[in-house]
Amino acid sequence: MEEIRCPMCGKPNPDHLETCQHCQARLKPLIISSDESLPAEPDNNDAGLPDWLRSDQQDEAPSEAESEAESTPEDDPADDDWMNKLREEGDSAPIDNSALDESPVYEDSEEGDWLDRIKELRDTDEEPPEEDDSSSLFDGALPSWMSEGGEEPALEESPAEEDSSIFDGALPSWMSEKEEEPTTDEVIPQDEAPSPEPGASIPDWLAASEEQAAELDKEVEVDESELPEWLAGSDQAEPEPTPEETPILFPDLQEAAAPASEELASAEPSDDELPDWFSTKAESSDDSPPSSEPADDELPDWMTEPSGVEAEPATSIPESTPDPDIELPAWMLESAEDVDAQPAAESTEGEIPDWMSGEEAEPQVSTIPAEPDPETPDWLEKIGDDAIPELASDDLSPTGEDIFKIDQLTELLRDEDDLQIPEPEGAIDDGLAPAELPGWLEAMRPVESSADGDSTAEQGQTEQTGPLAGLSGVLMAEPEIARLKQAPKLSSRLQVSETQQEHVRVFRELLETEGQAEKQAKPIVVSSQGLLRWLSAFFLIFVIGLVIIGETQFVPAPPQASVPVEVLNTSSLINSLAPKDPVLVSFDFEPGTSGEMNAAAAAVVDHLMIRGAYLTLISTSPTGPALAEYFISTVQREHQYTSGSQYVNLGYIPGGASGLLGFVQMPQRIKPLSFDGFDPWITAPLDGIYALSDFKMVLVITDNPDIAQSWIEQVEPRIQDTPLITVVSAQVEPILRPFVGGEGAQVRGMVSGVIGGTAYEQVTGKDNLGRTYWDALNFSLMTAIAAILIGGIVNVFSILLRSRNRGEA
Amino acid sequence: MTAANMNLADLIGLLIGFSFTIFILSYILGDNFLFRFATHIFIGAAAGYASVVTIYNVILPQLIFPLMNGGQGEMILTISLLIPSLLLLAKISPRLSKIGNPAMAILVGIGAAVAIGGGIFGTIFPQVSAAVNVFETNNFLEGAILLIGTFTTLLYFQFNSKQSKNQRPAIVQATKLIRWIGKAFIAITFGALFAGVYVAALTALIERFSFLWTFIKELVLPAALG
Repeated sequence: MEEIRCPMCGKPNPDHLETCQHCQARLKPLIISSDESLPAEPDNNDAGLPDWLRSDQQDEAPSEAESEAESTPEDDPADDDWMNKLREEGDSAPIDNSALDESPVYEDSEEGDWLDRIKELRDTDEEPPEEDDSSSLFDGALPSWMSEGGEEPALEESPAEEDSSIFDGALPSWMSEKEEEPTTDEVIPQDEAPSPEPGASIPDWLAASEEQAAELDKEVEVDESELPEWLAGSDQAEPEPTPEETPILFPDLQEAAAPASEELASAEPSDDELPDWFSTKAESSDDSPPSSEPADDELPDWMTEPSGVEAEPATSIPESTPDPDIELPAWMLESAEDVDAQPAAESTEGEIPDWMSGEEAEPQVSTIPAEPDPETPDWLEKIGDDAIPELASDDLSPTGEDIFKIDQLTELLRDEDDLQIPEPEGAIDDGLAPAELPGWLEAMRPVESSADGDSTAEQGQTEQTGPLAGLSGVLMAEPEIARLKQAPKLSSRLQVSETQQEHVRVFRELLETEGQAEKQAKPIVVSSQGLLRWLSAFFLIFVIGLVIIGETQFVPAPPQASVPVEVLNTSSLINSLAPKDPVLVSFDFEPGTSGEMNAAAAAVVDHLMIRGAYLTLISTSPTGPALAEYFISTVQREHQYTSGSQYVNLGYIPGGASGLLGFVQMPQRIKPLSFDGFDPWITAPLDGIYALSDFKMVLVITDNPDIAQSWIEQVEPRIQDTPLITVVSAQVEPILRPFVGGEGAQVRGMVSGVIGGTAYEQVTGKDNLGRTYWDALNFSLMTAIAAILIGGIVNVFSILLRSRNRGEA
Repeated sequence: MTAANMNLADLIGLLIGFSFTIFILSYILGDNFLFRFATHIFIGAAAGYASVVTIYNVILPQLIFPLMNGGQGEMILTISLLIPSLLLLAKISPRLSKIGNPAMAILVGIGAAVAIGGGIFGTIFPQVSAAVNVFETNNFLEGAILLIGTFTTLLYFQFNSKQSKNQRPAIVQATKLIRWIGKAFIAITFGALFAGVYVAALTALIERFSFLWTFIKELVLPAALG
């Protein structure tokens, strides 16, 4: 379901609602049909024209296009607003003129459609329709130029009545004359009344329109059903209208005037075919009732001022000289052509509307002595005396061909307000006080006809729709933001400087390079890392297995001369021990390196046992005591050492270096119980031991350089002359080497790994685990060395080959 | 050693040792369940064994037994040591961890003092004295090498440089040469360490293969051959 956003509160509403469900504001504006209210194609040149002039232009437009099908009733320019309303007035029933007396003030005077108000007055009239009133009504409702054409015959037959002049003051005579025109057509039957001569009772331009309409009727057969009612009604009312008597443009006007036609026919025309307002004005000078006849000072300015223009007509007229490029209204052109075509002698003043005759008489006025024409109104005479002569002398050609300058006349009519803007000094001089318009007359004033474009523009935009249509300067009901506006045209091109363009280029290059994979040199991929690993493992396992399974001893043990000094020092120190000397042995290695450590320490411990030393086992690693027990009971099982008698396992010393330092200072307190849970200090191995310096030797078996260093740092300085020897893993030897030396060294002797153990075995002359692993170790080492050499050679050749390829490339 | 003269515990121990050795060696085929199973078992067994050793070899003889069977002075001393030990248990809870900070501070302070004292009096002074005494021996070459190696290695970690006015900081060419020599000594040292590690690992492998062959030779083959 679509929604309509309220122009007042901005909230959405269903589209079927007439009013906003939130604020009760009208959602759908009261739109006057554009065909009726606005001209289809407004001409810019007509911007300053009043509605009635524009509508007349549109009325004439179809007549120019005689052969076009647009001349159908639907497109008939007679659909103009004021005409339609006038048509409706004609259809309306009794006309009440009393409302005019009751409410003469019209608040909608600014609406511009002043004819509508006249019709409203007719609608509100309470009195029964009287023919006289009706005739007077139309005297005031229609401009004189309209009523004049039809009034001329009627004026000859019907005398003017006082009631009929009620609106004479309210409406210009040219309107009343125009209004009375169809009335005469109704009053005078076609068979009885003499058919008016073309150009005599009907203006030429109307006659031309009639002729065109007649031709259209002949050429185009219009279906009766397609005709609008007003047109059909007019046809019924006038079955045989003659083109001369019935202007096709105002059929409804004829119908509206029908009830009053007879009365109008009997009414006496004004003297010498003068307009009603002229005649009434003339009568009012004698004995006119003030109540029914407006005074001169009540007349609107635009009606009175022309008389005052005579003071300075030359100042205003030249300013209002129309642009020759402006297109003349068609009807005016035709009228002008008709006037030009007719010889001056043939055109009688009675056959020409007053306002036109006055204009035509201007050249004559300029040459002929001033003799007031009885049919010429005063304001035309004034214009003829002062303003027109200026035009005739300046703008019109002396040949008299352009006697009737419609452009100038139009501007003259259009700028009537301009004519009255300058306060005529002559009027004041003549004793004529400036008139004050009554409210009702001010309301009836055709504001739009007198308002120029500039004032309209200053007042703001004219409301086009709704009840305020036609009013200008009205506050907008819709917020400005709710109005549909064309989006501002913004430039889509960025103003980018050269520096910014350079930055963009650099940034774009960076982005492009980001998306591209960096070219990397293909790594030298060995056929398979797994294969290489498999090959290495295979060769090692094969060599080791072959040696172990074969229990070969191809590789000779290191000779005695090649035994390291530290090994020899160790052997000599052990040889210096007496039987049952207490020796502290530290097993500080992990189970993972037990194989190496056992092989390295087997010969040394075996030598100690051979020497009959009592062993006290200790460890700073939790797994050390168990490994010590395993070593004594398994590796050295041949010596049949028993716990508590030849050796004692004190177990684990917690705290690392701190615990080791405490054990050095207070051995009995730190290790009150043995690993087996008994008091070790009463056993033979610890008999007479109260400090570590009481031991004859301290042997540290470790695979950890830090533990070895802790023993060296914490224990060696406090054991005084007790030698410290170490059996370490091969990986610890480089680190402990600085501590190993001669007599002044911290470590008196050291056996490192399988190689040291085998060397020690050579010193002692007794094979042990070192010799068992010796062949396997040497073959595996040679295999590793061979693999390293082969790998190195392959790498060298690959590098040379690569450099050669680069050189060739 | 044969299966006949072996008790059940030793036999089970050998079987377990043989199996787990095979599991570990299976890593040559890549990471697998047997390898992970063996490593998990070893880690768990080592932790459990360490806990048992700590309880039976540390807590009971040095804390519980003195409280139960010790004299008054020994009990007072034990209680005075028990309190900071219990405060260390508060480190388990993050909320109460501050309670154990004093005991932890004592431990760290004592450990640092022991390490520093041992380093100064057990390593630096003796090493300086040993480096000086090298030349007292008749092995001048060894002493010279030790001196040059020590000197150049220490200079290798000297990164100071002289900066002249309006010039970039530059290292003197002589310093560069010394540093290069020191780098050579360091490389040789690392090579020796790698060789020692490789030899230790290779020895462990040989020991394991020797164990396997012994197990097969003394237990499997006699049983298989009848």
